[in-house]
Amino acid sequence: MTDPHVHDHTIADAQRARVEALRQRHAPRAERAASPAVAHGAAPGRKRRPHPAGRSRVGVAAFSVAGMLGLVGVMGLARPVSSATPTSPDGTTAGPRPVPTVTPAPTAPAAPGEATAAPPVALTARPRVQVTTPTTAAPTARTNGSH
Amino acid sequence: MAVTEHRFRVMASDAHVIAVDAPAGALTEAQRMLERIEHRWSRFLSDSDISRINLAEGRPVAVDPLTLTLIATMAEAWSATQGRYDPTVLPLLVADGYRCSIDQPSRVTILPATTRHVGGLAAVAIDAERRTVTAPTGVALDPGGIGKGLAAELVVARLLAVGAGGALVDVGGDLACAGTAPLPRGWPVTVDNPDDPGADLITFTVRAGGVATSSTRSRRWVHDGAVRHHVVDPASGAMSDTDLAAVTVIARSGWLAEAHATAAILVGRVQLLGYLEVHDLSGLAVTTTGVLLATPDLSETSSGRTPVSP
Repeated sequence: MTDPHVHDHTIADAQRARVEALRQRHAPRAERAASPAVAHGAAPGRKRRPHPAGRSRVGVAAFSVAGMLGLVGVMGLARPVSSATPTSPDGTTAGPRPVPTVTPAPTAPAAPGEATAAPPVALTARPRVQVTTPTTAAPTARTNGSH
Repeated sequence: MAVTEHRFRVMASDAHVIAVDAPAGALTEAQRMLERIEHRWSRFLSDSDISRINLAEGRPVAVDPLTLTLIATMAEAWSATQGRYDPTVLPLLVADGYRCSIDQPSRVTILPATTRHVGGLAAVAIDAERRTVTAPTGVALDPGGIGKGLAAELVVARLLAVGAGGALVDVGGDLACAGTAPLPRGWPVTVDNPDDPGADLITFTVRAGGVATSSTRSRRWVHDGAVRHHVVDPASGAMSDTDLAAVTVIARSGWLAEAHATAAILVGRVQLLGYLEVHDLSGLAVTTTGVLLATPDLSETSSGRTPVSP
């Protein structure tokens, strides 16, 4: 009998590859040209930490996760979530994560009259930030939680 | 390089669009796109996609493709934050008095009497082929937690698609940026001091991605004689009593920054830096007692304050 975990991994991996291919298609040229290490978030000289939740167990929710990510992926938005053993807000380990039921579209749905939801903004890597002094050389955005 | 900017009010928030080498009319079109997104996603408009989903009581609702993206993104944000970001807390917020739009009090959130906090989106069904969303009876969604960050991201994409060399879109302090920046080091972003609105806490540059701040010092109101704020802890179902006044997160996308800022303010001072580190985020926070915390890459502040370890 086929191990359902192996099957789920296969589906999830295929979806991840599809998401990544779509994301790459929409990615800015500079990001496409980045080295694999940079593209996956490893800063030079810094070893990337594995996700704390690991990837060893994928429950029955994996297919739905993959389906959901497929939907997000065809819209060019997201990278897959690697955590398969969720932790509740109080820090305790919960069971398989429930996810929305999704029927993936065969093709990316087109928004009438404007661009589809395929922003090239989403990166795979942690953005590099650098503290600076306030500048008047360029318009500056402000963030204050007023949303 | 020509840098242009445009400020306006949308989604009950100040919006700021900055673009590099944008074609004529692009910034005005960015404003119109944000207004269209607000019309689809606002819980204060009875004919928005979100209101129709919340009022449908289990029936499928045909929605705009952007709304499908929003719902799927909500699900991923809930998952990425281990449930700390939860758009189904809306009935709690409404019961706590956050029913009306801040800008236009005549606009109110209307929910069926059956709605309650269910915790997560497990029961919400998305049919991308038919372009429908079905929320079971009792479930109501609030895009407020990530809607502005996602909208900013979508508009940045639009600006780049129409030929801008780079763009930054800020909606109420939730921003996304990509492409050619006006400075060689990236897009400059200043974080407000939550204890002194309008004063700078820190300025940094980011090359691309998203920045968002969650604060218990804004979006406050008085209900039943008590001051309330909009940060609800899904674990308790009550207004958060976090010891953090504000958290700013820098992430790879606008919606993810917003989701993690919402989640990070809930974890509190002791766990904050660990949360940011585990999720591979940059960020900083100010506690309710005025202590500044920051990840190492933001450890030097332009305000002269020195971050400390919790």
